[in-house]
Amino acid sequence: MINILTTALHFIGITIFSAALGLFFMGIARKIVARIQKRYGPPIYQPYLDVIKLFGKKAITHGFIFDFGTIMAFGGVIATLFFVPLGAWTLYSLNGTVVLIIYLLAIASLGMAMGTVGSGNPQASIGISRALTQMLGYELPYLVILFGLIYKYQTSSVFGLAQAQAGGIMNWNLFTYPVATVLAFVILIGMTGKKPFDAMIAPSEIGSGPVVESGGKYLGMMMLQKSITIIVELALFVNLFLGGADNILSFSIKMLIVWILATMVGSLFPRFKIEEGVKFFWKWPLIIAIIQVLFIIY
Amino acid sequence: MVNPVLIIAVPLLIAFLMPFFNYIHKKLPAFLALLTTAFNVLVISRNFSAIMSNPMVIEIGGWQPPFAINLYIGPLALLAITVINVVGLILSVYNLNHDYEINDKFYLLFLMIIAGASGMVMTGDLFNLFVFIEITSVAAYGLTVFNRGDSYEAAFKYIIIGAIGSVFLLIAVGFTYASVGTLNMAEISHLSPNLSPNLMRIITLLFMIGIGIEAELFPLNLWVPDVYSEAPTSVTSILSGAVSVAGIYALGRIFFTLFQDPALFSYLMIIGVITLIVGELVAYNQENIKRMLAYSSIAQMGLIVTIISINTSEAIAAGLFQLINHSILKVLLFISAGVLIKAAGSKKIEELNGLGNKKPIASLGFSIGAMGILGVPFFNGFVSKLMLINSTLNAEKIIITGLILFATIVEIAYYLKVVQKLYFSNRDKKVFKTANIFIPVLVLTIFVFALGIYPELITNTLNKAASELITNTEYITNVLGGM
Amino acid sequence: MLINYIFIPIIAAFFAYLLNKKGKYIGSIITSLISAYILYQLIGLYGNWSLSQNINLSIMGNDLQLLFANNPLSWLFGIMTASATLLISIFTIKSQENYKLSSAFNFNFLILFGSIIGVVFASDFLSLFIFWELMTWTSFYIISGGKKAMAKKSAYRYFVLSAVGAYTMLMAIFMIYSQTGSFAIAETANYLQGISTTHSLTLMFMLALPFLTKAGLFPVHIWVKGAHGNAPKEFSPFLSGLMLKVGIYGLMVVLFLLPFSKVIENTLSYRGLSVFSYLFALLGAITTVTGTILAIRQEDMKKLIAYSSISQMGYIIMGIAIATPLGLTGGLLHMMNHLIFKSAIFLALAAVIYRTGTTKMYEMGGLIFRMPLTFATYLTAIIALAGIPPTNGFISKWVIYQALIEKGYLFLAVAAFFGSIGSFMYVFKPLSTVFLGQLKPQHEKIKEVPFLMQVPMYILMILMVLFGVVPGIQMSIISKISSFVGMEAVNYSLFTIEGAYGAWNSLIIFNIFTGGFVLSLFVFILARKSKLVGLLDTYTSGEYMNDAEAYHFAYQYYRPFDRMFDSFAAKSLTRAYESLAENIAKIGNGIRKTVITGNGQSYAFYAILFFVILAIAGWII
Repeated sequence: MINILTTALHFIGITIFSAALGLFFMGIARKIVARIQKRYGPPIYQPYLDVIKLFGKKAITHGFIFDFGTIMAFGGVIATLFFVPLGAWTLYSLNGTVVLIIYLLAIASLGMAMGTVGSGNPQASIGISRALTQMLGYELPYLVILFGLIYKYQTSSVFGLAQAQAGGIMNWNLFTYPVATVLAFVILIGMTGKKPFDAMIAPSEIGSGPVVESGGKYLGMMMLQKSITIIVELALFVNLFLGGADNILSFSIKMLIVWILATMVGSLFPRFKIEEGVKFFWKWPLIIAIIQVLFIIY
Repeated sequence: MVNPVLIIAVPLLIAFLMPFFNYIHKKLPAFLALLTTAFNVLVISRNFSAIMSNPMVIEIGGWQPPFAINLYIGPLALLAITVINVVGLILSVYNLNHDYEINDKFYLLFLMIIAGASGMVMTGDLFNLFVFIEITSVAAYGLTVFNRGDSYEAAFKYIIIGAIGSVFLLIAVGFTYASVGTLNMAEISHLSPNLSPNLMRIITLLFMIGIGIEAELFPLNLWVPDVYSEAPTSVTSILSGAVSVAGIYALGRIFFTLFQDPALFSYLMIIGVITLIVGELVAYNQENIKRMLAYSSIAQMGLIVTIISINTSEAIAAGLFQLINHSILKVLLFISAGVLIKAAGSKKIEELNGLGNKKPIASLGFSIGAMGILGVPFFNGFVSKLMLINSTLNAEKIIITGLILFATIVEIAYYLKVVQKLYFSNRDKKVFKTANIFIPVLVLTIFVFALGIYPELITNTLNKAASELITNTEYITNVLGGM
Repeated sequence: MLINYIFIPIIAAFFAYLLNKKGKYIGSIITSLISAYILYQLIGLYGNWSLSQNINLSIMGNDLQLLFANNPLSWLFGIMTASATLLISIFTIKSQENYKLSSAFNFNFLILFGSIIGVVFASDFLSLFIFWELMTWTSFYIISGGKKAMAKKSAYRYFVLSAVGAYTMLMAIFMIYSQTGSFAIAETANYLQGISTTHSLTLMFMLALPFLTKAGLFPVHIWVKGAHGNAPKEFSPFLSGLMLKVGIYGLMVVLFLLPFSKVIENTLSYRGLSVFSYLFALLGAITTVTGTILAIRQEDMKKLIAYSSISQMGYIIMGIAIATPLGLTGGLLHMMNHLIFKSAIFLALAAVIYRTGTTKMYEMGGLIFRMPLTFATYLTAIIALAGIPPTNGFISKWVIYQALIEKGYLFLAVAAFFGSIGSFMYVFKPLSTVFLGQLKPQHEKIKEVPFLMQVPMYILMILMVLFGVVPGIQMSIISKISSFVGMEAVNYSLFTIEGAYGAWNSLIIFNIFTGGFVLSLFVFILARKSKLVGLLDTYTSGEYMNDAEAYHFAYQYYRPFDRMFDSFAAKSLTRAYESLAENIAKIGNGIRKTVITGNGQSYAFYAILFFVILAIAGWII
């Protein structure tokens, strides 16, 4: 009993931490983009203020499914967090988790999709249809790379894959499989919805897409969900390619570095159309990934 | 033990007395035809077990010119006779309740055709065979035109081809007599090994053309589509169900009993396959339902000839079973199609939509017939199909098997279209009144399922018939043994 | 007595037909009762693996033995069939009250049920063939009875394709029979091992063809869309859930009972697996990809799910064909799961069709407000289909992934991933266009479906989650099947399955998921309450909206994606088959026009020409 209680508390703690960290990263991103665009930008703690404000406002809802979807999205991503090792904070080290994480992220997307489309606004539907299409685009090379890694290291647990890179910097997948790492980085840009892969949000085109009807606590929960999603994705990347970390501090620093790089790259490009995005992912990244994995297998 | 000669004699007698009966009462001919066919069936059934154990040879001495003509009824002939006369009986019942113009002359010819077909099957003399073929053909020509309209043209084509066939037959009989010196079938088969092979081949060829017209081989069967589609329904049924059986029987006698030449079997097989494939392919495009069924009949005949020409005991048994099933199913199909045509007022398949509800018995009859031909399990066609595939594969004829299965698929294509149209379309056109065919359909359906579920009913007979056909020694000894 | 289970439904069919003419519900009630009874009996057969029954026939002097036996594989299929029939017949009690052909439907459905039981319990090829034919015929009749205009044509195509496969198998069966004198599967297996590899491979392929067609594999998958889309709405669940699986059963018989593996032992192999097995798996992969791409394009919801069924079949084939313990387990698991969630999806769609009368997704919308329970079923089912924990769909997909990665089959894995991610796209489309979005004015008045129709949906929902949390139930029968076909079993326990690179523990996953959900709910409730507004009251950039129709995004939902594959989809395999059929018809027409001239004189001429040709041929040869 005590065990379960401590785990639960641990879990809640990690959630809060990740949310906070995620919001922090989001603030940093805004600052960096602003600086690149030669302006000052909002303060780094702006996202915190946004969330607090949003939860204080009243919002509208379009019915049960709107609520349910939002709850499911946020709940799904919290559940995903449980399985991701964050430095030393590893709650679940059993095998079989990589594929699991990817699918659990899908619950979150599905929940968000359901909820927002249930609002009745077609712009949300358009945004979701784009988001799903794009997901098909980037998941495919990503899973190919994962396939290679799992096969190579004979384990499908994230923790295990991180452990397998132990023993010094040169053991990181970054250096043993640099091509795969670069590809995963590109995919990461797609996963986090940064330019040039942000047609699904497309602020000026479809009114921010899925979140067009969300306000107040809904938007707040969406922001929190986004922040945790960012953390999960970054954590995955760090664990798979940068050898994980022994403590949360170095882990966070690694994540931060990746995030800054991704933001900087992302701010350079205009938006891809959806089919261009998918085609992009299926051309060179997929081909290179397949070649890379063939090397691994043979 | 009733004298089987009555099977031929009684119908002929009643036939020629028809005008007299008609004078007595208008309805009498129909009933008399029914009684006669019933009588025939009765005679057959009385003699059935006797013949099964010992083939019957009856000499007709006395009132015919000096050549001793004999009748030979073995298991094979027994089978054929049963089919011919039972079909005749069912059609007589159908005729009672007909939906077209017929009069006493129709029944005259009807009885004549039954007598002729039975005679073809029972005779043991070559010229007698020729005579009975002529009787059958002439009756058929006459019966065809009862529908007026286009049937005149159809009958005319039939006459032309039939006349040519008769010529060939006569030449063949002449050659045979000139070379062997006798017209008795048993003696011919006894003496035929002495003939030079080329002569035997030519004679066989001539016979094949003559008889092939009745047995519906390609390209001698081109009269079939016209005649079958224009003639009245019961005429088509008797042609398809009874006369073709007699034709196959005669063909079998020529090729197996009289002039056995293994090389010719391969020709027969090729002709059979061509008939089958051509029949199916052309049937696929037909818009007229009776023509479609006619081409299907041609194809089935081709199939049976192909199987029989494989020349193994099990193949012949399978072919015979297929022949019997074909007769039952085709009669069922044609009767049902006749009602459907009358109900829709047109022969086009397009016009038959939605009749499933309005004419349940006819539609059901048609569907059962179609499913039987296609080989749905528990129908008779399934068993015969399995048997024939078994026999072709046992004889290592893989390509033939493939072609047969291909033909079946084409069959499926065109039959299913009709069945679907009957049951699953809507009808907004007028439906005309038609005759009641409940009893014929019921009886035929019972046959279909009985043979499908318990083929053991006739397997014994089939085996005996097959073995009789393959070796002609028994035939010879039975007829000439005493001499 | 195994035979009883085949013939009781067949005989009951006649009663159902006659009695249904009296009262509309009686037919379906009889079907439900019969299937319940048989289900009950079959459950009792569990463990009785040596039960067998022979029927001896003697035809034409040949002794035939029809053999039936109970083994784990057959048992599983029998249970699946009976359960599916039961659920669907309960559904049809209400849903067919206005269906003109309901008597014929129940008649054919009962015979179909009996014949499928016959197929799966047969242990010789002849019985299998007999019941296979019966099955094809009855399903043909049922599909023809669909209300749509294309129903007849689709049924027709289905039948012709099936017939080609079935007759190929018939030829193979008899070829084997002529050499061995027996139809039994065990004898065939012995025989096939004794002859040359090429010969035996050809025979096995011929035997497998009808099963490939029935399972809807590329390239014989073209009947699936038409048949599913146009069949009566209650029959599509059965088609998709069960009849495709019967093809899988046959393939398993060919691949495992006639030891495919032993036969091809000495052939080329690729990474430890014979090339021929790999070929099957590759066909499965192509099917998955094709099905997914085509599903995303559909505007008709039944056709969309039909294509989805094909792609799931591809998964199952991939799992089974690679012939590893994990692969077999994954394939079988996915098969059972697919039955459950596909039936649920189709039943939900049938409920929608029942109320709205249309299958085009862009004609609907916002139905969640009127049919919430249907929506819940559909949602759970698509979560299972997409393979998201904690439903059963994820487990089977996970096992298959493990199997593929374990052996390093990259291309198969890529296809599997593609199918899986793609499935998110196509399952979401009906969800968003049918249930969410704007409610059309003509649908303002519709209600939820009657209770009897809801019952099967509830049962399926419960099963999906139950099997998701407790996979041990399914694993127990699957491990028995594994040992039956000579494959090692996969380790499992009530809540866990052990894979190649990791184990799966459903209980933990379920708990975590619930925990996360609770946490999020907590956050939600703590915040301020929100105000409910209508659907039309949304952000419209300042425009005034009163037309719900214009505001519903449904048509060509994935247009950008579809554009990428427009040229691919245009090369339709269906058209290739159609042109083949047309050419055959043209040959027939050609013959008719040249030879059959209707001219009496030419016929006479033919006779003489015929004689001359044959005479010359006879002289020369």
